[in-house]
Amino acid sequence: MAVAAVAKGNKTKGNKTDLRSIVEHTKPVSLSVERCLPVLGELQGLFPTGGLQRGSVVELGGGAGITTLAMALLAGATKTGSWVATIGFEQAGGFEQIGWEAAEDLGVNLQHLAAVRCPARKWLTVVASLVESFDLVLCGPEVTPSAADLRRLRTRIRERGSVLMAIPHGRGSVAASEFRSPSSKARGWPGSDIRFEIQECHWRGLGSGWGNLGERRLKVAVDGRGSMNRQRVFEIDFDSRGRLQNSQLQNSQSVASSHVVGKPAVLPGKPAVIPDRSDARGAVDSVDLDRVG
Amino acid sequence: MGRPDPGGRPDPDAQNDSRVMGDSDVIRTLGICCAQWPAIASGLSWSVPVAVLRANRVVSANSFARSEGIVVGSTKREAQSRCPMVEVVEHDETRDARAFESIMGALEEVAPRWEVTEPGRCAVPSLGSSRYHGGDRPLADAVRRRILEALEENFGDAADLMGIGVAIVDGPRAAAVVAEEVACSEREYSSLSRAASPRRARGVLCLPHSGTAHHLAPLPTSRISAGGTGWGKTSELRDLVDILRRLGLKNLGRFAALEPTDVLARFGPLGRSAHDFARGAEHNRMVLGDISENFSVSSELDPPAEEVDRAAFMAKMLADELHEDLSSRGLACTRILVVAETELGDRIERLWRDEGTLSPTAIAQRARWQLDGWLSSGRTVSRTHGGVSRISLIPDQVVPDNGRQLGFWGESTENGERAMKALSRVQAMLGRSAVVVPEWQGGRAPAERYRPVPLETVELDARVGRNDTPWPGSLPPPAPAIVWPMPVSVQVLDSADRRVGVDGRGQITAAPEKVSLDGRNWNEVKSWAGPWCTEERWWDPEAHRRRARIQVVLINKVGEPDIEAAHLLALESGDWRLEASYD
Repeated sequence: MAVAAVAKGNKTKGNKTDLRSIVEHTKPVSLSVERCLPVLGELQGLFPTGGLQRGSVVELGGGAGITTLAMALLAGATKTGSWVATIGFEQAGGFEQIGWEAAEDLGVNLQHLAAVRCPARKWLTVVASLVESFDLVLCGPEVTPSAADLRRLRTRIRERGSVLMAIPHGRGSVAASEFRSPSSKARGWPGSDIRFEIQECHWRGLGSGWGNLGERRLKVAVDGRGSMNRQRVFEIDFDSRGRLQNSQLQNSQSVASSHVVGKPAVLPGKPAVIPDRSDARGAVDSVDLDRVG
Repeated sequence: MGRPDPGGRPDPDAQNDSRVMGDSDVIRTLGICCAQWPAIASGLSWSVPVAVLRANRVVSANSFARSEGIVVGSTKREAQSRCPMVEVVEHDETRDARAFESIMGALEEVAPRWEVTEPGRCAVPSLGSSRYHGGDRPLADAVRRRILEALEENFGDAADLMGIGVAIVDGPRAAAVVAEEVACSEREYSSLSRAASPRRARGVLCLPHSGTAHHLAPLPTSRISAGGTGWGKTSELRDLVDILRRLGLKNLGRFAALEPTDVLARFGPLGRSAHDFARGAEHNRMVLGDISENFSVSSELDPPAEEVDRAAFMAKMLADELHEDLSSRGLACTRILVVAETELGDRIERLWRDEGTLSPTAIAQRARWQLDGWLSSGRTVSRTHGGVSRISLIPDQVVPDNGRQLGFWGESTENGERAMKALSRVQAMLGRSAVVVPEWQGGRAPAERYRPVPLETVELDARVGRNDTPWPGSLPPPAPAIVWPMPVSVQVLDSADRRVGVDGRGQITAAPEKVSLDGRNWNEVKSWAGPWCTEERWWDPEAHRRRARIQVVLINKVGEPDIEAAHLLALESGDWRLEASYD
């Protein structure tokens, strides 16, 4: 970082500025980068700080693809030694399991994952004790906080510097009459710092009676507080083995209006980045949205 | 070779004094190995072939199964193909330990203070006892006889009397290795005449004093990692063996011929202890004076614990305390005495060894095994009256901690320790089964591939990793992100609102058009593929399962037309079920 500053400084300003910038980078305060949990390289573009800000609450919403997105967001931190606890994924009488195999494909280090099954009335105490020691806690749809619970929890999370990710109620439960479509947005986690909303999810590889599921493209809207207050829309691609491939920023203005199903995701004036066919590890790469509609 | 008579040894008093270091200081040890302990502990009769599996690999098989060609390490499929009627049992360490406790109780009648390395393997310093029994052979015979009696008494039918090895040699580790060798070769030796091998009766081998190195010399270096799990981290030992092999040191004799100082310089303490073992010169590694008083921790339980969980939880807390105390002084414990006292003054103790330096989890796990054996087994009820009122942990052997390599930023281990603390708090709140971790098992259906195991039943670092060997009949990637353990029934209709089925030839009757969970809200099928039919265990009328799976991509036209949700549906005995979701 300091080297980069020197190189940059030589071109523009004098030596004092260089020194100042070096001092800036070497002084013993915690930089925002240090207060972040790393995410996978492919997802760094989603965060202005380059990672998940410690002490924040992340809410994931929208339709199909939430669990995959949550796992992809966790993966980077588990690889660098952080532990993750998952809670609230149990099915009535059983265990709504996160597909651990899929999680591993996305890059989650399963050696650093523990799943907690917890009765609904005790979840607050349990989550509160988990955020004390785990860097990441993923709350599933069975966890339903009240506003007061959340306030208390948020204080503790901020104090401890952990990250709480939540998949709100009304999506995960099969008891809901639909398949994973948002039934009630009001039951989310009010006041979360970052919100991810899945707007589109497209699959490739499946025909009528032939093929098998292959690549997937998610379109995710990200907004939040502070540096993230502007809503941005990303496209995230997964390859046919369920691995994260890349993410591209789309223009944020065109979220609701301009996108028409059946048209390629190319926006006026700014072509969407279609991943290079050569880097696709032998698989069919980018999602051809023409075929999808 | 030493004297032919194993009874006549140099002055035993000099050997008893552990502070004197030197080659005369070797610990004469009796080692026992029940090679296929998990198979015996499964409690199934020896008249059926039994294979015990962990992560789809056979870890143990009884003699019937072995005679059918099942070998340890083969896959389930391989085992079943060699012997279709094999009884397959899932491995359970707690069950093994509980069962072994009954044998330990019997062995204590022959000699006191056995140290257990793992269920199925134990050892005891034999000097005093062999004097009492009149020599090594009578002692070994008495021990073996007692084991066989105890096995028949406790397991009846299940007692597989093959594969029990008893050895008396120099050094505890050598004892474990030689006992294993004896146990594994018992079948061959039993067919030989006794005269051919005078020191070797069925399942018993007594090496003369200082004859151990000679016996070990022709064995391959890979035996360093034999002798059970208690002798160091398995991965580290395997690395050591690998290096030795590549250095051309193919057998233990050539390794033993190296200079001890060179070995220490090149391979560190782990190599040194392996070298001592190969030379038959293991001595007491106790480095401190009276450590037991300095470090032992104990706690009263009031009211006395009748159930294992409470006592084990206390043991865990004590183990944490002990570990903290030791590590703050740069020490680690390799052998620990777990003592439980009952309210009526009974005292039950067991010595546990683990050269991989016992971690708090390992100590707690051993305490739990021990208490499980005492409190749950019918036999011990007569021995212990009332609940456990006091638990003490006494480190019996303390060595300088050689240190662990922390993660590159010094953080990863610390993170793990913090996480473990939080999880044990959660367990205290919600019970032991509330925390699970994934362990690879492999299988066809998505729900079978990783299984949840309770946190305490696994050593976290030693979990079986995923292996991507092909599973015939499994679905191609991507893997589903949600797996429904209790599949939910769904309705699948074709364009004419008829139920979709799969015929006997594995053909779908009509293209699915819409799918619903509750019969009111319908999702349109955008695309689909399948059916993929599997027929599992067709030879077994009870476990037989016939399933057809399809993948569907659904759209809810009313709600979110842009969201395509992919699911895996399975048809079994006429009902469609939602098996997994590619969420």
